[in-house]
Amino acid sequence: MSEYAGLGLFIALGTALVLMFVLLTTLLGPRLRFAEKQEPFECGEHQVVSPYQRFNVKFYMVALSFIIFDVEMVFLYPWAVVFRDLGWFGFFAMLIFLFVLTVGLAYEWLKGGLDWN
Amino acid sequence: MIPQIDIGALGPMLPVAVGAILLPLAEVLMARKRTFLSRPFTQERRGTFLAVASLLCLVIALIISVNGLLGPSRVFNSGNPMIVMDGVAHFLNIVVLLGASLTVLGSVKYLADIHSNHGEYYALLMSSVLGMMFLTSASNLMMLFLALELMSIPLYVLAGFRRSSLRSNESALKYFLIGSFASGILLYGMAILYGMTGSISLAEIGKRFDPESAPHLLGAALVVVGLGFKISSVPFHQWAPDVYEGAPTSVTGFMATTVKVAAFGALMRVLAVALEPAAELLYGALWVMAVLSMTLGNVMAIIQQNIKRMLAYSSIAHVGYLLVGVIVGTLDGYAAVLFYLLVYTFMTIGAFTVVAILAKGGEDRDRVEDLAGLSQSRPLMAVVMTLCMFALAGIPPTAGFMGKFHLFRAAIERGIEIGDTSLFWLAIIGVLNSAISLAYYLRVPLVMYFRDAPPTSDPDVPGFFERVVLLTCLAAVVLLGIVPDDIFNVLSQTAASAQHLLLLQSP
Amino acid sequence: MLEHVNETIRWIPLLPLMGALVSGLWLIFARQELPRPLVIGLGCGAPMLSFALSVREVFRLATAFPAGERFFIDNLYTWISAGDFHAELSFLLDPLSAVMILVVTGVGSLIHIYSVGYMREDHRDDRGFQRFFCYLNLFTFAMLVLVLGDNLLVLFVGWEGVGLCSYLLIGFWYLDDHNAMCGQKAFIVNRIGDFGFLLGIFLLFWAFFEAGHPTIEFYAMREHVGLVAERTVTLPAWLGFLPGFPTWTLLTLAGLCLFVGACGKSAQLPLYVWLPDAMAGPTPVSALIHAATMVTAGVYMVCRLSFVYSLAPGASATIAWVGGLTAIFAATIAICQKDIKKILAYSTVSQLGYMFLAAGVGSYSAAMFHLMTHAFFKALLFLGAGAVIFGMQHEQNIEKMGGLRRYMPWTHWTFLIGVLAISGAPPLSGFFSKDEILLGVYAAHAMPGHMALWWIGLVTAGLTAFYMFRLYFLTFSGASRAPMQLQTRIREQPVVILMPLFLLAGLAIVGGLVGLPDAYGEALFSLPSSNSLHYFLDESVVSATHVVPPAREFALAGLAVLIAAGGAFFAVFLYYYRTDLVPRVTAALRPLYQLVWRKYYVDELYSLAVVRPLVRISDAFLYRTIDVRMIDRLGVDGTAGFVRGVADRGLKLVQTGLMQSYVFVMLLGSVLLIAYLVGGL
Repeated sequence: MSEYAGLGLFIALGTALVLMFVLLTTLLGPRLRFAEKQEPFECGEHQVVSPYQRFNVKFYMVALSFIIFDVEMVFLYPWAVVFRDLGWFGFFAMLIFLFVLTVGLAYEWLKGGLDWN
Repeated sequence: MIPQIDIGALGPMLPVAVGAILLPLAEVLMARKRTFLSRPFTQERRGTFLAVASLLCLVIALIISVNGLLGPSRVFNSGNPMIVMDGVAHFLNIVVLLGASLTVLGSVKYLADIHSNHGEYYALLMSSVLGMMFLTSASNLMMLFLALELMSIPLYVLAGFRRSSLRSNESALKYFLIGSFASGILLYGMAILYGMTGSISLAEIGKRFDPESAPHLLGAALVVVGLGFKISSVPFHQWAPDVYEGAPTSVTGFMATTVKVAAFGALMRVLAVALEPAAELLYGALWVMAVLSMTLGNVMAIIQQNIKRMLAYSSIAHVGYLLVGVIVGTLDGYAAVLFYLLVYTFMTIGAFTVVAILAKGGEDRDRVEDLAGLSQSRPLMAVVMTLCMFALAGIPPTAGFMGKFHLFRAAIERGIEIGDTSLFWLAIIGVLNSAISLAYYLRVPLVMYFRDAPPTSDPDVPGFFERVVLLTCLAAVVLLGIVPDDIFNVLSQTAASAQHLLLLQSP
Repeated sequence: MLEHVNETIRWIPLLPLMGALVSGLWLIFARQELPRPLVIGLGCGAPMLSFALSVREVFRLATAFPAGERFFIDNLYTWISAGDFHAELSFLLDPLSAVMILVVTGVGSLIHIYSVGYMREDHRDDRGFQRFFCYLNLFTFAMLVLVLGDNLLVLFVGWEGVGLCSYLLIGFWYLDDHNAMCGQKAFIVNRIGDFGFLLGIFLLFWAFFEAGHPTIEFYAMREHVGLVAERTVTLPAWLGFLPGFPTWTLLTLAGLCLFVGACGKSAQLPLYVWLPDAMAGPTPVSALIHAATMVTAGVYMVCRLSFVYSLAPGASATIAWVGGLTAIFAATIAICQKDIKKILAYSTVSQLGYMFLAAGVGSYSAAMFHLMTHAFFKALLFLGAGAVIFGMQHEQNIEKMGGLRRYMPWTHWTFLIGVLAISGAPPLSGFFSKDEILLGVYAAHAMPGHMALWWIGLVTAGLTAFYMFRLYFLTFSGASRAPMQLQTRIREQPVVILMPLFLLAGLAIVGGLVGLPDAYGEALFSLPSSNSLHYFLDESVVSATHVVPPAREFALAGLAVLIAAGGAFFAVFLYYYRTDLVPRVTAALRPLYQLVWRKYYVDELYSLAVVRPLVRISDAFLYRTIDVRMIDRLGVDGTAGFVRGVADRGLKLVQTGLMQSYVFVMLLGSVLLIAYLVGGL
């Protein structure tokens, strides 16, 4: 039973913290009302627009690069944990993996995919 | 526990992988204003350089594959293998590499003609080839799916490679959307199979598969649907004509051949290894698919005016013939499928190359009438096209006849062995269909030989590379028809030697 | 079985192939013609050399070995070996193929020579002359492969090859779209037959495979045919109307399937429709392919497989009846035609019917005999017709000819010999071969209705004499009906055209003597076995034996001659003495005449019953419902319109409906598959 005690405490503290923030902002925050502020929004974009709206393709380039290197990190962490057990085999395997990704980055760079203008 | 790894087993893939990774880099380096050679390459020379470089990679891979075919089978890793390089995998890789090499050779001038000479073409092609090579050798659901996607995603891009052409864009989008849908179905099937059997190894699944259980069968059915899409068998075929028509011609030739080669490899492996316990049921379903593919493909092809579209339907029909060999399910049947895939690759790429050469000024000339008078203006192209058409129709002594003969013979022999009349009917329907198919294949030589060219027509001269493709296809289509025995024997041995690895039935 | 290996045999077909390859490759790569003498030397030299070689080898075959051991084998290499199945690429020269290669290379060479004259002024196409000889050589090669093939598959290669060349040559003058369509029609009709043929091969292969002898070699099959004779197959229920239902012997079924192929290739009912249209090709082609050689391939095949047919009485009876009916049917059509080549074409169909009639009743050597003599006199007639057409500046309508005897005396005489030979006038070649066939039919007591067939044969003989003499009189006698300015230009043909005519005329006269029936030999020259062709062939085929007393034989022959003479005299009366009667007769028989003149409306029937429904199904159903997208495309003025349409609507097209419908079909397929697998649908 006792091993679940920590979990209970975690949930309770988390809830309390969130409630506290909400309470504090309502009590302390200044209240200025104007039209734009009444709209729901997300990431600086209006919510009610045509779904066929175009985005600048550069956003995608950045997003893709981000995801790729994010995934690289995901692979690197567990690899680092068992690095000693894997030995040289693991080292070179990861080196190849990193090399392939680097080539991709180099290609994107040389091709101008990272230039914003 | 680190598994024992045999890197050498991947020998054939390595040159292709190196090419796929380094080619884009080489392309951008050459495109810079100041290169290390101090002067920039023109776009045309860049294209030629990249084509030659990728050809080099492909040829090295080809040599390693041929060596592999003659040598013993190898397994990539110990334990439950991810990749099995047996004779079948090597042979299919050879076919894929041959198809890819011919495509590369046939693309150089064509890409310039349609104003799409971007260096990424070759890198994408190589990635796709890499995926195919893994697909033919994957013996594990995970590997299978990864390879399938590695093969397909570059193809989605390649289908839309003519960025300025709406038909090409449409083709890519359709291919992508329906392809993703099919991948989803396949993945779902794999997930169910894994969930039910607790393994992703094809061999393990084969041992644990329970043909009585509905979820097992559901998984099997979904996997068959997914692969059925890749080989474009009826009723999962409808995308093919649209996509084949819109894609750049060289890409169409590539898609129509190598993708099917690789997907048939996967299909045979999955059916023979993982789904073997459900073989009887599945073969019933495949029987229907084969008959529908043959019949619908041929009948629909009759009314097509566009050669690429016609060849798309014809390729659907050929999938039907190929499924006959899969349904036979014996080593003999598989050998016949392997042989037919080889033959089919040559005759189809030959035909598509002729169509590609005709493209001019950014426009494809891919209607049947565009070939009028070709026998007068370009006799070599006309002869190659004629022989390819005859081979596709299965007229002796071309290779196409030999391929069909082996497929139907295998069906009849198997039918006698197990006393199954449905196999006879399959052979009869196949023969009838190849008789029907002549109606549209014949139209092409008819137009080329018996109709004068319009005065405005001035078909392009095939370049050196294209000549090589044409002559290679010509030689293959003829030689595989008149001296087919050695290669077929190799294939029989291949299938037999692959048996204990491919079929993996014994632990 | 003793095998005599003879590696010279391969050169008989390979020589023409080399001729074709050299001229063809030259055309492709050099893109111009070789010098004329070289083309002629190559084109005619190859078949002539091949002929010389054939004569030598056949002579060796006939003299060096005793009867029963006469065959040469030339094994090139193993063509297919898969599992138990084995097929060599090898050639077989036995008496049966010996007769065929002599006809093919001999008559073929003459026609090649004739073509030099016939095609020399053909300027419709700048490389046409060499192309023509290339195709002609290629045809000779394919035909030789067909007859020399040692097994069914090699035979099939030749079988398809001759069809292909025939198609190329029918459409040779492609300026006329009609010609190209005729070529295509020929090929497709043949292909329907080939479907049956291939099925027959598979069935035979099945039978022998099952019996433990997986072979398709003729002599091996012949040796083991006893093992499969009793094998029966059960027919599916929907074939319940067939006689002998529900079990047939497999040999009957295979024999019938193969005969379907023969019907296609040899233009028998109901697949004869392509042959008259095939006359669109150049006349030497009609003579070589559509009279002397290719169309006889079906007869050859039946004789080659006589060991199968002799064990399949049902199939044999079908062959006899189809042959007999075709003979009389085509003969009646020939009576009313006006195109000189069409008349000869229908006559060919009719004569081929004769040959099948003989083969059907088991008189295979008689069939081969008639095949040979027919090759002589029909090639002669066609080449003569070609000379006439050439002289008449490409006029083919006999109603516009007449009186050509004065302008072209040599052509006239040779043509008359051909007419007499085909009509069965003794002692020309046609008399003996036709006589042997009728005798065989008469004596075939085992055949149901053999007397009816015999009568059909007799009547056909009369009809043949009638329409051939009609053709002769309308063309050569009386006053010329050609326009004046044409009449002044009609000339006799040069020697290169006449020479083959003379040689063929000689063969048409004396060719029958190699098969002089024993009764005649006995009576005239006291030779007890004068029918050397029959005895020579007899070891290759499994003939039915029948004995008719000589007196009866003479009486029957006399009757046949009388009937033929009656037909001929009727033609003389109508078309020579009382030409004024012709319009009155046709007017009196108007409906009948119309029916026959329109060839019994068979082409229309095919169009109505087969072609149009097919197009309708393909178009209306598949085109409009399954391939909907095409409508969009063609509806807006072809592809260009489509592209514009797409451009107008942006990529909306992709998003509206169609993608969903594709996915829908795919899902439906998946659901059905799942239902089948899981639910046991």
